[in-house]
Amino acid sequence: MHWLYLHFPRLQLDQFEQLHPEQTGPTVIIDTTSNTVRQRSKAAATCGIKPGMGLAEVTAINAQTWIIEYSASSESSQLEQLATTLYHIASDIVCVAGNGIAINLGPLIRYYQGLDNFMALCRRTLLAERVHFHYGFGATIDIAQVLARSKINRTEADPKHANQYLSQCSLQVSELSPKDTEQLNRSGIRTLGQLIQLPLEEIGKRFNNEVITYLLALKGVKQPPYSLFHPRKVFRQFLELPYAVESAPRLSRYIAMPLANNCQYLQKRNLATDTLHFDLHQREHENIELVVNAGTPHHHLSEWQLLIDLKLEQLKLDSPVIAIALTCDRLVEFAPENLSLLQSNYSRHAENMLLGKLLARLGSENVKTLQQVNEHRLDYAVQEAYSPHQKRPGGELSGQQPAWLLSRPQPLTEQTQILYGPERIHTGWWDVHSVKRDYFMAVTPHGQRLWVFRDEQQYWYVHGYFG
Amino acid sequence: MFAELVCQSNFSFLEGASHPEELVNTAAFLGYEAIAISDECSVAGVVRAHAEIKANGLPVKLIVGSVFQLGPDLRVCLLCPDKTAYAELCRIITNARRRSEKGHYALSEWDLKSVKSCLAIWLPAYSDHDSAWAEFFAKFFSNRCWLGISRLLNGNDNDHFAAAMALSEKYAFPLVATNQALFHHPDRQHMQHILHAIRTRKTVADLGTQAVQNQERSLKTLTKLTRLYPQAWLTESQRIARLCQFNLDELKYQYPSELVPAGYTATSYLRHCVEAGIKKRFKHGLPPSIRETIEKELSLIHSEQFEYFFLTIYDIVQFAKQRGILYQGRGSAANSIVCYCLEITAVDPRQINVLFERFISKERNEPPDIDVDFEHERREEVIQYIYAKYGRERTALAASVATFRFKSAFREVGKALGIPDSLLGYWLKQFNLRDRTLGWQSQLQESGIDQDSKTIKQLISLTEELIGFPRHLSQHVGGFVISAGPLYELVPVENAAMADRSVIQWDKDDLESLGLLKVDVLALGMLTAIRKAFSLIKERYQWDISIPLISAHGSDQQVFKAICKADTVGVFQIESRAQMTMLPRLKPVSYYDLVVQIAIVRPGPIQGDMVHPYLLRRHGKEPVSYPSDEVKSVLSRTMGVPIFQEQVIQLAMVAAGFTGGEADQLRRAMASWKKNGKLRQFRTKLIDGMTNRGYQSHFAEQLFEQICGFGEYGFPESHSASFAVLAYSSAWLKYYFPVEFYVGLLNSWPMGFYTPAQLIQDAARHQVYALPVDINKSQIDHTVIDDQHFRLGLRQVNGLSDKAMQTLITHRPENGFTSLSEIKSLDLNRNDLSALASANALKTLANNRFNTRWQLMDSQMTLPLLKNHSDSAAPMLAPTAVEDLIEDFASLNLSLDQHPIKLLLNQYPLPHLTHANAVSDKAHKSPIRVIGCVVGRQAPGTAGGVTFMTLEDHTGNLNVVVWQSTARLQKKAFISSKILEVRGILERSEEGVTHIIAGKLIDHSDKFDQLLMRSRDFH
Repeated sequence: MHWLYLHFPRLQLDQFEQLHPEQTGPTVIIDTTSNTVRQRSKAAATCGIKPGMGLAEVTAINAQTWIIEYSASSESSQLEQLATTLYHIASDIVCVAGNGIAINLGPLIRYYQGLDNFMALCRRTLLAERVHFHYGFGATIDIAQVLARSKINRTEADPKHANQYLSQCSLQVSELSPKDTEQLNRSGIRTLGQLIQLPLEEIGKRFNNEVITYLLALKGVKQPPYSLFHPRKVFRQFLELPYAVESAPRLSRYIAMPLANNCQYLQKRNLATDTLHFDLHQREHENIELVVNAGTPHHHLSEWQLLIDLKLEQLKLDSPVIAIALTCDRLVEFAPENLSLLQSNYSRHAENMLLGKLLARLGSENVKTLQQVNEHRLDYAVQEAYSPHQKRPGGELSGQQPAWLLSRPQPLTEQTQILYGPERIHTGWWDVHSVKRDYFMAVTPHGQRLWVFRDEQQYWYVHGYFG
Repeated sequence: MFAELVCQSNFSFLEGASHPEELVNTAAFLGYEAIAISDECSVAGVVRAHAEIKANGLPVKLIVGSVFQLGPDLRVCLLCPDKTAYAELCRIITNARRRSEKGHYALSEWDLKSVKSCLAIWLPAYSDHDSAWAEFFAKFFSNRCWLGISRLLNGNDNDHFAAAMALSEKYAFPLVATNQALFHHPDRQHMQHILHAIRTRKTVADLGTQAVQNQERSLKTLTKLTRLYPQAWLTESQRIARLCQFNLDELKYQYPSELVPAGYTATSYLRHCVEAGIKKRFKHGLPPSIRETIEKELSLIHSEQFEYFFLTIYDIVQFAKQRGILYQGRGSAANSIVCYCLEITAVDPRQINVLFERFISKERNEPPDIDVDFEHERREEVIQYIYAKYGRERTALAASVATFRFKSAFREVGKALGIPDSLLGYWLKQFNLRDRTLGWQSQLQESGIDQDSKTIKQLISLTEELIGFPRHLSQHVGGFVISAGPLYELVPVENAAMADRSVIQWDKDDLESLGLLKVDVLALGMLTAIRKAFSLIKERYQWDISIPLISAHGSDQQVFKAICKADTVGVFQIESRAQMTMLPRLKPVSYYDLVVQIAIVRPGPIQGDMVHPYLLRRHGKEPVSYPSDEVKSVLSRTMGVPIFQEQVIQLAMVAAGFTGGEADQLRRAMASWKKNGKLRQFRTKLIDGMTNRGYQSHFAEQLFEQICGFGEYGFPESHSASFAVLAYSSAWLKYYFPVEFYVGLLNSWPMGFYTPAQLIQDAARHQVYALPVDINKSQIDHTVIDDQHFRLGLRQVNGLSDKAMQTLITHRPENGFTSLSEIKSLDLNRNDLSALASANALKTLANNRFNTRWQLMDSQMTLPLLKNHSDSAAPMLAPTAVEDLIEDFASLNLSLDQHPIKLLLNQYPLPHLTHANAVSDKAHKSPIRVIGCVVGRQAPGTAGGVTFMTLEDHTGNLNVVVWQSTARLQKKAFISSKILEVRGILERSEEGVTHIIAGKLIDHSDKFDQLLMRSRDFH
């Protein structure tokens, strides 16, 4: 028994139920390519909803069914998280397909002094993760996989028993392609037992090498190559403080240690980051989440220290902090030329550093940049945006636009003379800012050129100044 | 005064935001002298505008034109001053369209250079290329080019005006004002944004500066125009309009002259053909009354100049006749005696009291309608004949305008407003469009959506507005337009989605409006089946049987007896469950009863509540009465109950005072009311008209409901009459030549209402049995063995290629194949071999199908050295009965040996069960328990929430009625069961029609899977 296979039949639904414990009605995960049920909750099963059922049939049975689109990427990221969690208790882990994890038991049985001990720990770990799973054991990953998918869920030390179970499993739970499965079924072969009994030579005359390789794995003769799972490389450090710290600025010296480790970690891997997450564990209150942003990704200790100090100056604690956790997961490759002091980029660098300081001092919600948006209504053509690094394409404007635009149009109070116009903007009916305005270029007696408009009520406003 | 010369309707698909009708109405209302409908590289919208002006006598002139874009820098509108220019425009559009794939066009500079008669309104791009184009127009459009100038209030007007005036001065192009209208009313700007968003697959918010920035591109009042443009530019538009004297009414169809041989005129040749036909059709002499009718018809045809139309169809059906292709004409003119004599139809005038005026009405101004159905497998031969005879330049298919229906409109508007697609899909699933009591708007409200939200309000109103907007042109199923000269001089031709097919830019309504005739060449499966049955009879008995021969024998009471018993599986038109339920009640005994039967089981008469009164009157349980003599004249042949579409139209005329033109509009609105809902506007007129003339308002309301019910399913007597001939012929074949009938049907499949499995079961009930597919005995088609047996052909084997079938038949030794290796040596591909093995077609050569399939999968067996090697070992287990059944269905779609219900009951016997063949022994109102495979679930809109389920057991079919409340309480079993047990009450009507009213529904589908597992466990 070298391998344990864990099959997670309803990962996405498990996650949904964790996020929405209040949702107890029938819930299904729908495969949108075929519009059929992929996963169903217990309540859905009670209603009579079955896997493979069409969406129309589902809504006909129960119109109140909660319908969620299946997302393969969401499941695989969940699987990765599970593998990361299991990585704490087992070393040789293989992620299989979208919803299975295989664990090499070889090194573990001795370490845990028996399979049962490890299985108990494994169950506990997965229980804490609140996921449904089935498991199976086998000499190869493929045997264990078939048994897990067949929901055998038995800890058997004897490979003979495993083979007995295996021989009863249907071809549908195997990794054989639907086409091969159909070929076999229509030749009267429905179980893996029947298939395994056939001489390999006969199978070789009828199927390709993949099938042979798979069968060898199912017979426990040869384990096909696999690649082991390695957890994602993010930096994380937890630090328990020697005594509780009451004022935020005084945390600086404690933070310095994980921060230095982090910068070292980044430098060694030639990585950089623009975001650090701190979890400050308070003795009597909930944790404070402290996020520090830099204007540009880098890994310089002194600069980070400066930003953190600025941030800590603003921070008020509810109760003393007893522990600190630092997570750094926004990693990018460090590109030194961006920071070259000798290039013309220098001013850009300074600008970024300033932005970083502003973000630290004022918080990201208070630092905004301007963006031009493709829009007829100039009031909305320039919008404030929170994320300084994203840019939306601006549109090409026709007509006359002033160099200086007022953020809010002001009533026109002086006598003016119209030079040019009108340009009529009558649009935006789909949102709350629908406008109907006639714009003109006008000149005041002092020669100042204004961009004015007349609205639907015939009131006049100044919206900008030319030059 | 002013004329709008550049104006795009919604036939500039997903750009123009008003119907052509709206544009001309508004132009007339605003007092324009003329309006051009100038869609982009298209004249698809002009006929509608023309018809609208004519129908309402609008005081505005229509100018035909089209806008073209050539690269980014040239936009020009070509207008037609006369017919030559129109032909020229059609030619240019055709060329530009034919160069591109469907829905696009590619204009070339050369196209423009070839324009000799059209007037051009150049709309400068105000770019650096303007002067080059100015030179071009000065050279090629001397004295025929104007500079179109528009004040669009986009901030560039002053610059553009200055540039245009400079160009005008330099090149002497006169300036003309135009709004380049995209919509008739400013409010339609929202719709224009929506269409733009749909076209570019964006949301309206993301259109940005690409969107039309204001409402200036609409039709404007004359006062406003005088404020916007100098008078001279407006007057110039008038001057151009006066140059444009072309009217679409000038288009006259020139029929292909080769139809009439030398020495004849069309009239004399038609008479010649009819006289020849009389000799064939009336061998025992022509009764004077029929001669009188023929003369009347011929003179009507002459006065309406329809000779060529009849001759064209005559020519086509003569071709079909020569080729032995079975056909049948139907439609308003098809059932005339002239058509009977021309052999276009087999409807014998002696069996039906034909009133020709009933079919062609001068007053109603309808063109004659003749559709000809051909055998579905051989229609292509007829189409190829038409192409070969007249050439591709002179023949094309009529278009069919695909429009936005509710679902597509709702989804597209929703997407354009930025509502997530998944949410729209979810809402759409919630709508029950059949629920006529609750509109979709109210249903949307019921689903708990915030009705006060601005977006939802916009979604509702814009969806309503978008319904009926044209989306693209597609091809009519079989409507051909044939002309004397090149067709593109009459109407532009463009590419269809199907290779080697071209379509014109007008649909059948447009053709009708212009009085142009189309010839409908349609496909009908039943004709194939009947022809195949005829051939089989000829083969066995050397009897020549034809449809006219069967009709000529009159109403055979044996055949009608079978029809009255609803023994009509496979019989044309009267084989559906609804028809079969009606047959014992209506009890047809003559040909005309069948005409009524076919038309009565339709949404129209059912929705208008006309069925019960008709049945009561027919069986003498209610007196036949008429509210007036006029009504009597229309309804006497259907006992005072309106059943046919023609009767409804005639009633509107005689009882509600509709004029011929109005009745014609009503007929058209009926044909397309699902698309545009125009029918509702006739309601008041009809009901007021009838009550004013002293009819009861109840009768009027009923009539209107029926008109709505007819909708797109409208069933005219003229079609029913032709269908009844085929229904009778197929019933006759089924009664007298059952083996040939079933084999003919099965050899024409896919067609009709039933699957081969159901047809074979029905055959067995008539003591006609199918023999299994056999590699040494089967042909490609099914073959007749004797009076009681036929052999299934290789065509029944799923996945067996045509090529493999041919190879097998060609290489089959006289005494048959003797081993699998012989078959392998034919080099069939692996799929073909597997298909044969699984279908058990190789049973005589190998022991079981599993084993055979396994052996044939062996790739080494085809190696030359191993060819004669004995078949490999490793025998598979023999299939169980359940596995055989599954394999039969997987490879043949039917099983001759097993029925799932029988197998299931062997294993899981159910007490107190009644089988389908024993239902007739049970008493009315007695409790009953049945089980069967669910073969049909129908919830017709007319049935008020009732679902009709058809269950099939090994002895026959069971009709189950499930009330909505029963279904709702037992949803699980009701919706998803494949094998269902029903406990309920048996109900039998006076006429002996039995139904099981469902009480308890029990799903046994899982048992079948268990059966598969269990049966395997025994080994």
